[in-house]
Amino acid sequence: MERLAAHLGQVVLGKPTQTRLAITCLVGRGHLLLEDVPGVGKTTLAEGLARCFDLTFARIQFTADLLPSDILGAQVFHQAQSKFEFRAGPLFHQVVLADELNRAPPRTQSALLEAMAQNQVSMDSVTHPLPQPFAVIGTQNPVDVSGTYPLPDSQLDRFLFRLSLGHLSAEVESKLIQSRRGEVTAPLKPIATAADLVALQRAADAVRVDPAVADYVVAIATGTRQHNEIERGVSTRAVLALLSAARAQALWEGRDFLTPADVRTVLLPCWSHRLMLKSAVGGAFSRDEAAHLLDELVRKVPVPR
Amino acid sequence: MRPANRFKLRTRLRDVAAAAAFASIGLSGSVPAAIVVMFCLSFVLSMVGKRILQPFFKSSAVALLFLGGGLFFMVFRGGLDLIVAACSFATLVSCHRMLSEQTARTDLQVHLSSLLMMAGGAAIANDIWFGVCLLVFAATASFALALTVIEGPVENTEDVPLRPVARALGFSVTLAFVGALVFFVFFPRLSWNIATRRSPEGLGGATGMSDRVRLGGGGDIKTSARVVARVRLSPDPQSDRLDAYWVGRLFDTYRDGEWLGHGKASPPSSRVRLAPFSLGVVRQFVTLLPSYESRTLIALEPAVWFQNAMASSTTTSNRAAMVRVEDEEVHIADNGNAFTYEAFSTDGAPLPIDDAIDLRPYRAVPANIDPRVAALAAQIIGDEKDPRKAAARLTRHLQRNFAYTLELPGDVVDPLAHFLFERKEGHCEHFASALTLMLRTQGFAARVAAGFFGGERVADQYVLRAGDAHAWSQVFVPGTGWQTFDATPESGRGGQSPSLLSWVTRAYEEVDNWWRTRVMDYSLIDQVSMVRTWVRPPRQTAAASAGGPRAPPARALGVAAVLGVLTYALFFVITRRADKRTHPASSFLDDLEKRVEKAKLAQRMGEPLEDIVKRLRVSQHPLAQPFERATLRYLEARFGGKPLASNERSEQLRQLDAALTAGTSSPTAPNSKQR
Repeated sequence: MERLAAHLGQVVLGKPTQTRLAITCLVGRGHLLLEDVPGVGKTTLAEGLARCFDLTFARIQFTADLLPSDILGAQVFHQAQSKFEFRAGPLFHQVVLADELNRAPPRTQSALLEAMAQNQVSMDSVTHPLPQPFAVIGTQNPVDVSGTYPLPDSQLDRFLFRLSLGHLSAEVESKLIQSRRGEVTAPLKPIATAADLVALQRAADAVRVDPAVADYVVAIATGTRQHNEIERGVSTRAVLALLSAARAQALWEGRDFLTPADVRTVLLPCWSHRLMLKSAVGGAFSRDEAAHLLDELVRKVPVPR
Repeated sequence: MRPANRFKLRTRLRDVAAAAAFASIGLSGSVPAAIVVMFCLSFVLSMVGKRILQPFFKSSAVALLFLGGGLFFMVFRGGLDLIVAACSFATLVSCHRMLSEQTARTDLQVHLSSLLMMAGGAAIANDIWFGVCLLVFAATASFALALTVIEGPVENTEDVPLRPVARALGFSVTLAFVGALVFFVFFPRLSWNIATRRSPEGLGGATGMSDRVRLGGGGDIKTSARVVARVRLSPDPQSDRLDAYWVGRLFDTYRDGEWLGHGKASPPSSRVRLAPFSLGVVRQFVTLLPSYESRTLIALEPAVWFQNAMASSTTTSNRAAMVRVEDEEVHIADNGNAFTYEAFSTDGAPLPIDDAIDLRPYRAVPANIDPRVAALAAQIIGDEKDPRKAAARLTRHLQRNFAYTLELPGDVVDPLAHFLFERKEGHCEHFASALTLMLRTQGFAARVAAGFFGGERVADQYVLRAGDAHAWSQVFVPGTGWQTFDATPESGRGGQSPSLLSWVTRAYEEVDNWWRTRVMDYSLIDQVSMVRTWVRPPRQTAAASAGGPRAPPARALGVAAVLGVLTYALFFVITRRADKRTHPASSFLDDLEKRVEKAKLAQRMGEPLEDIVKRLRVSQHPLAQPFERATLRYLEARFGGKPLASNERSEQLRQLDAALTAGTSSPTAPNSKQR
């Protein structure tokens, strides 16, 4: 994994934390939501991830007139055999970049739901399994919100991590503009296979969770549900997601057991988009607020000793 | 400390404080039994966490008001002392609050009512138990309040690191104790005469010695170890037990099962002479304590002279006059809680009395006396004419054939005949009455004396206990005077107790004595003399230490220090228990965290070790590696299911310590490299 992170760092410059978290997300069988202003490397990160693992990659640009069939595929009438034939849409790839996810109308967005949750697509009473491993990397632009359909909570809940990349530091940026020419991810050669990723995912599943750590996670979750400023705390799915992310995180240290610090590391990207705050501010500001509340909460919940 | 534990600890401390406050008034015995029951009940309920009044907040508050009204109505009717009523009401309020919803405000209300109870206790009881209750109350209430104080800045759900808080609380409570002690030692004593309680008119029944000797009645006589009088003797006989008769009252008339006196009272005077005396007297400095509940003076038999009587209320002490009731008693004419006086008695020998005194009342036998009494007396005495021999025969007979019991016979028509012919057991008054009346039927002059038998040495004094109350006979011997005969079997004289119990009561007496002299009687004079010893050191110190100021400062400070340490230790024990851990690897973490603290690596209080290590690694701190190794090992042991071997643990710590000493001694040490 360290190797992967270094490798990916060649194209995604100056963002070691986010890069590592993105890999964690993939290993934790999760989908990633990147939320940031345009031009800070969201697409680069997504494409780089796919290439590193030698996964098939497709990019779907979400627009206001995008229809579910555009991404899932459609039944096409085959004249020669005079029968309908399923033609797979761009979703049938191992890594799907759903760019500007919030520009698509709700029905298109929710067409992603089944794919993200069950790794399958049901159309016209036929269920088509998706290629494995499968991950959706959604991006959205928090600033330019006119003409967008905000993602429903149920959709947000299915993203394991929400990351925001942020602007580069001055020296990294100047290094970048000196070196970068042409296609960014082209020089990136795969250094692992899809099978490697599956093996990593298996390893993450095998990470031991001590009851004390489980209690710790539940205590934090209960904290969000009882907090004064939080309208609705996290769901059980969110707790499960947190644990699977934390298990993947434990692999970074080469451990086969989970510690409270693993939980804390993945807590903010994993939960800050799942909280519904009482103050009615939306968008990125609400994420900051949620992150702040979670940070505060984590300090209060006693760490198992 | 977890919030739930914190609340529980706070409530427990609060309840214990309330219980101590209640004990201070409850132990005085003057609180109505219903109140005692109510408090005990609510204490238990509150301890187990049942707040039964929570749903009925308003109605129960109204009921409480009515109860309070009832209490004060009883005061109005004269059935209850005002202070007792106020204390009872405070108790009710505190019960109500203890069983209501648990908030910080409720706690404060409980503390306030407990404080009222303590204040009432100061007025009702002033013995050592009050001191103990006060200490317990002060300690527990301070801790409970201190825990309330941290509720403000800390949120309800927040986990408070226990050790720093406990340290701060323990320190401040210790400080408060020391401050209170300094305040006590140095603050001028005030004479607020608010809480003085009247001593009841006439003689009380608590001692077993009363203004009339009744043979009937039901129930038991209580042998209480409560001290009623202290006496210093001069010359000091130096013996541990002074089995002597202390006479209080004499009775001449027996009527319907009761002994009465018929003396004529003389006008009050500051000295009373009962008989002429010369040398060979025992001088007694007597203190009658409030528990004596009487104003009759007692002295060793036979008493000849009383002088220098003082009546003390809780705050002041005045000269008092004495009234002599001819051939019956001497009592103090003024009111007071306690009395002191000097008495002189001759050395045991009967007083010479001229034979001309009127002996008719001492030979009178009631007309309705059972004829069997005279028959029995005649049978035992025979034709003996010497009163001493006759009395000795009767005494022997009574002691041999009758048993001693503290159980009263109940209401019988003729208690004397019942004692002599049916029950054949009784207490000292039965024996004394029987002996006296049987002698009288045979024409001898005799009377009943009531007082105390005993005298147990405590420090340099002798104490008389309520259970030492006794009655005996005096027989008139022509040419000699009144001579004492005690028909009561020896087992029934005074309050004899098993040795262990006597050891306990003796120890209690010592503490009580200390409390009285060092605390209760600590006065402005002591303060002045103490300050004087400091202001004028060389000569005055010697003189003062010879004279003995009653609270030497060194000792007082020593007591304060011991108390502080004790409370601190107590709180530590309590908090340790409340915060017990389960996992064996946790103590390893404790050791690690101690070292982190020593190296000052944490950026904020309670920062988890893992986070610190991660931060150190990022900033390439020189101590990052050893700490990382140890932390990883801890994590494995705690969460990874790979337990630590004991030698491995000490090895880890040793390596860490080595790295620490290397790290702190090198010039490029810790903080410079941190972000």
